[in-house]
Amino acid sequence: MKQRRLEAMHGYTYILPSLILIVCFSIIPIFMSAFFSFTEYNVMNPPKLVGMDNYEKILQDEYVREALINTLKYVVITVPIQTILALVFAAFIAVKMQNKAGEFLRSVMFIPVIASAVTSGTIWRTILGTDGGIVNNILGVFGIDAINWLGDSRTSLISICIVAIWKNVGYFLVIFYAGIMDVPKSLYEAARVDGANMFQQFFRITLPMLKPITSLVVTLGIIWSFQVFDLSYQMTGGGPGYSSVTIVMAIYNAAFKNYKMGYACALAMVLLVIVLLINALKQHVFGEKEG
Amino acid sequence: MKQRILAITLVLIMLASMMAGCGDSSESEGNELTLWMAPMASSDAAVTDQEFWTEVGNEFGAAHDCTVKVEIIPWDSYEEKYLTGVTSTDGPDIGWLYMEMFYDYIEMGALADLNDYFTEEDKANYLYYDMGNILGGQYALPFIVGNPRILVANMDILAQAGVEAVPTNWDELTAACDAVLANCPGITPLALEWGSSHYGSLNGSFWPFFWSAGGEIVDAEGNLTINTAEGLEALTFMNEMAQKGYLGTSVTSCDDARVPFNNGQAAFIVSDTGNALQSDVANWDYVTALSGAQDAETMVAADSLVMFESCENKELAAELIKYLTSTEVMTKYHQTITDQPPITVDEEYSGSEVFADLFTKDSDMLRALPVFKGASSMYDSLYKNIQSMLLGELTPEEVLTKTTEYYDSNLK
Amino acid sequence: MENKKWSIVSVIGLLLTIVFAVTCIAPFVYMILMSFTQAQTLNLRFSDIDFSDLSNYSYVFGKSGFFGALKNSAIVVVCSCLFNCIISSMAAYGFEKKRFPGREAIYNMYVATMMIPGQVTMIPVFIIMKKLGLLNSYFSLIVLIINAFGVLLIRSFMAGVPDELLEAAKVDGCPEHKIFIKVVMPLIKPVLISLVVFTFVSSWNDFLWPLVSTTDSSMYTLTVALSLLKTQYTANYGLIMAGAAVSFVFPFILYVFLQKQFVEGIALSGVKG
Repeated sequence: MKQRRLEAMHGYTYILPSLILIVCFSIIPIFMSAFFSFTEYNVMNPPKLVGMDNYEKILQDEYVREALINTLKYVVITVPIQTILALVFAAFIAVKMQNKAGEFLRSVMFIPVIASAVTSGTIWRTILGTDGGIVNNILGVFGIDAINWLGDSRTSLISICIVAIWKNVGYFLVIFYAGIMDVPKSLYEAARVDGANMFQQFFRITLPMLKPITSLVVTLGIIWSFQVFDLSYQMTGGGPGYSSVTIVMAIYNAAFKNYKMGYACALAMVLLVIVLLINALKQHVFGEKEG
Repeated sequence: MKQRILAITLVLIMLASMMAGCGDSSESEGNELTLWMAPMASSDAAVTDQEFWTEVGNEFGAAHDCTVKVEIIPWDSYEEKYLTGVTSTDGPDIGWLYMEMFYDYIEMGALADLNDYFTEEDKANYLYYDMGNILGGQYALPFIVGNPRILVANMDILAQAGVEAVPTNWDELTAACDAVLANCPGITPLALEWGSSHYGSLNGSFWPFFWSAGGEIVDAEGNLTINTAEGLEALTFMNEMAQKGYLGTSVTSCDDARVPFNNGQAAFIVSDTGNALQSDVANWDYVTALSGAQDAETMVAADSLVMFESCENKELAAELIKYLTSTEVMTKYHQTITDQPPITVDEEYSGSEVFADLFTKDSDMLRALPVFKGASSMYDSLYKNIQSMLLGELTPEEVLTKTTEYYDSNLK
Repeated sequence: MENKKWSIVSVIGLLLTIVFAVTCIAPFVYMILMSFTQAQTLNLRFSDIDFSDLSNYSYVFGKSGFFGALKNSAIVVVCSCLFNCIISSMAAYGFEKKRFPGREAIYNMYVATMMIPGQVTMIPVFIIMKKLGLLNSYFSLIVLIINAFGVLLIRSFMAGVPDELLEAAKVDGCPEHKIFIKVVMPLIKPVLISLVVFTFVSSWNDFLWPLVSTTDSSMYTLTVALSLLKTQYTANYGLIMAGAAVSFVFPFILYVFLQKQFVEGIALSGVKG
């Protein structure tokens, strides 16, 4: 008996530091956030309970609606493209370029991942500049008129998506590549014996075997997309108009520009619900266990 | 048991070292003052704002046996930094607020009433002391009353376009822009900063037109009154300018109008007087404001020094405010950092001859922004809606109704 | 796999891959070139580039306070990596190798917190830090980097550490804490390196929280300082690019040396979920 109690004591001791941090900075804040979402709170004065007011306001808030729509557009544009690009490049390199060159290409594609979103945003802001930016200069060579990338509400969000895809492909490529390498080689050999070509091998073996990894990449991609802030903040500041405001930017603005912490918390709860729904959906669709 | 104690000690040491790793910034001593100032010097100036105020702070510190910690807050995240700063333990004791910010901070009870710290004699020396009486208290000491937004013209381009004088009203501006479009290919007639991420460009790019059309931002009860015939007139004029191509194709990505102007690619810009003097364009002239349907009016900054309630040594802070606004410091400031009109009786206007007229003859054209609830959020919303209008997504009417609805339902 | 024939499709594939790879580095090359110009316009002319002209870098480090920001980022990153490794591997060891009441319940709670986006808890954490007077401190910048991810990652790896080994050490009279330090830690080194890489990148690139929680310019991290550079020197593209280059070069150097660990770490997290 003593042995077991001792072991339990050890167990608690080992997890204690981590547990304190998790409880203080993840668990408690969630409940605080939920509580504040029913209050009016400007940090200086004590919170005042207002019931469902904040949530009712969210429903009517055009700014929030724009932010939600933009974020959804962002998801719809970035997730499929970055997933497909990453998968195709990974498969191509795995099949055709298992050599130094392939390794080099993979390393190069990973570079945007290590740069921060702020750094990437800063560089791309200049590259996408309207008068004299590189992209417009290149387009100019082909006789295409200068595009007001970041200053036009039709292209500002798309520009951000392009940069996000550029930044994410390398990350997912690495995951896909590792997944492809894990596929037993015997499967391909058997397929080749049956006379399957490269495409058939890809669709019949690679793709089905990568299903769990694809689900991870897609879910991760969607969740990241819902949290996008840095790129948009750095490249457009949410503008012009509301064309590139995201949910997180709406939270940030409500809390730290308009001093409405309660309202911001209510928005944060909406974000939480969305993310939880995506996770639930993932488990439902791909029928696999978390962890 | 021994291991357990050991393990716990290890944990404690670790936590303690983590806490210790952070200690050095959160101490606040009674004789330390934190001063937050705004950036006014040009980006290539010989003396930066930080250097200037640090030196002033050191002089004050030496005389009063205290330390003054100086922080320059960039415009772009100005309000966020103030909010987080004011709520944290090492926020400012003395800060620099602009009109849009006052209502919220006074309502929060964050600002100290300055009246008791100033003698009648002090007050008499300040030209704009009464302007700092906001919402029933002396919460502010006007510090920069000036830097009006003016219309600056590159006279060489105007000459090329066949325009002889700087326009004085809307019609003349329209005519001049047409002339530039017709005669000077590749030149943007009027460069406005509708691409900045901060609504501050409204000050130069919109309110002068709004006021000159006869508009008022709020009424005496604090209701938003931009959705009026006058507001519509000003916005429609802005919209027409955009559609006729006066503002250039990339107006909503232009976040610094000085760039095209300095490069000789723009005929007009709206600039504050401080920046106008730093222009690279040799041959320029200006007009204070353009008259529209009503008399010409333009926005003048009324930025103030404030003392925060959280300040522990208010007497000392008040002394610092007096020192900062003393004739000696102000004269030096206006000469080295930014050319502004005096704020005290004692100081003589030392600025450029170019603007001597502006502050005397044209002084009744200058207006400060009103103080009202949710001002900055309203401006932000209006600014974004006008951007959408310039991109052809909203009509002027929609801009005004949307902004007003948003303000009434979310900000009031 | 050993399909060595190069059809037209493969050639197109190769071209696309190369084009994309070029797109991946071109912006950084542009950044470096631009940082050696004094350009006030976006047009990059090769005649403007002067590699002997370090004035942008000296200005960035001198007047705009990047040096302090670099120091802050370095402190935050090093401490985050160190504490994250220690705290997370301790917890992972506790969860995997010790039996105690409520173990799985607590662990499930950890897993659940992984689903909570940081932005949701940001405001309450801001308020907590404010009440504790810890805004503008290294503590607040470091502590949020440490989350359940490290525990999950290490635990999945630690399952491969045989219990017999620990039992043997115990039988030899090795005290509990020494088992952890001398036996377990060396065995999980590969996963720790992956965790370091992760922590390094996420903490170096963290932006929203430092933006919100630091008001004191002496506490700014590199990302915040870089973001402010944009607004202070709007048209001085050379200067801004110099700032971007500074913030990019450190993770890049680390990547060049620890390339394998970067890639393995991410692959590991991907495969193990």
